[in-house]
Amino acid sequence: MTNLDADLLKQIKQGDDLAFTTLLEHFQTPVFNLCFRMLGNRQEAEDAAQETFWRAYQGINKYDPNRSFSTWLLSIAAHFCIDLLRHRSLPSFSMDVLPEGNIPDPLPNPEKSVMDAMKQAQVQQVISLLKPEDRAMIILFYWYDFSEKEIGKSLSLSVSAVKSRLHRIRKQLATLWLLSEKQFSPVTEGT
Amino acid sequence: MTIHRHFEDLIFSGTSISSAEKKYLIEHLKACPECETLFNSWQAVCKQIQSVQVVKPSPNFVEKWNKDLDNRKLLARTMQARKMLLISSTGTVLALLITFGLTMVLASPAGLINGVINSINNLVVVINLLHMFSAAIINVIPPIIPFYYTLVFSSTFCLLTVLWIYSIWRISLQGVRTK
Repeated sequence: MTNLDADLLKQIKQGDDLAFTTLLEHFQTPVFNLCFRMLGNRQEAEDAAQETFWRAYQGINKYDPNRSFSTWLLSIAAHFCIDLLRHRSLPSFSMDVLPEGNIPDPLPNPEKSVMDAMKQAQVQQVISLLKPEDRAMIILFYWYDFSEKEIGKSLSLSVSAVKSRLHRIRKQLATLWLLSEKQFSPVTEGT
Repeated sequence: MTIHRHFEDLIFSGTSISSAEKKYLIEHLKACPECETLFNSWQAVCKQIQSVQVVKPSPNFVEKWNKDLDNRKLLARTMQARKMLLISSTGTVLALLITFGLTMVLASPAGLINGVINSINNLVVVINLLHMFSAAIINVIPPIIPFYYTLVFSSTFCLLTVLWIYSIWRISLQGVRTK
């Protein structure tokens, strides 16, 4: 569900809270996942996702039905997370990278599962070292299949600026990955 | 350096490259360990990013939303009312200050005192006149207009006043979505 059903939108605009709950049920996972990838902390991500839906609820009349609803909603989430990260005094990284319920089944290959979990933690850590706006760009581009144009629209940047920044971020990610390999390698070698 | 830059552009551009460029890049990677390390690292990041799992919210996410919705609405309404109150009081204080400042600049203290006394005097006169006028109307109207019409007129006036107050309240709530 990337766009909003016209009837549902009409009901929401008329103040039907039940219709908004239907929308929330559909979009809770992508919004929460984005917040979690941005913030790296489950509790903060859940609060941020709730705040995103509240902002959408308040601003539903400003939504342009010609635009993709998920793009609009995820832009709100990205902006909110960017603001939160900017207000953080220090960059934080929680080891809560694989929350309960998402840890792969340790059987039949426990070693592989642990390795996968470590790699996912590594990805999350590397992403958490990026600037808030860069983080949002990478997440939207690779996990939400946003086009460069959509990212530009969401983050108020030109397409050429998005392209050049993505180029810079990719290089930065590659460098950070190399550095993080040193941090994660003693554990992986020991397993 | 420029050569490295060119190959970095190929590695990190994010767009597909032609077979000739690919061949050219592979040859360079064989000869340049620095670019090769970056290339391999980016490939590893890419692979991991694409394999990352989607994280789901807690099962009571929707329940929490429904529970908090009324509180959020109430808070938003309170904030909106406070904002309106703050804007109106700031505007009033500013208008008073500007009036006072202009009076202080333009008039002498004696003239100012005289002006205040005159204004109070005029106000009293106007109130007296209004009082006399309404008394005269009350004495004159009943014989001319029947009681029924007076009642309709007064009710309409009261209703319009209530509507006016309600409109101001609605405007003050603008931006807060309520059911």
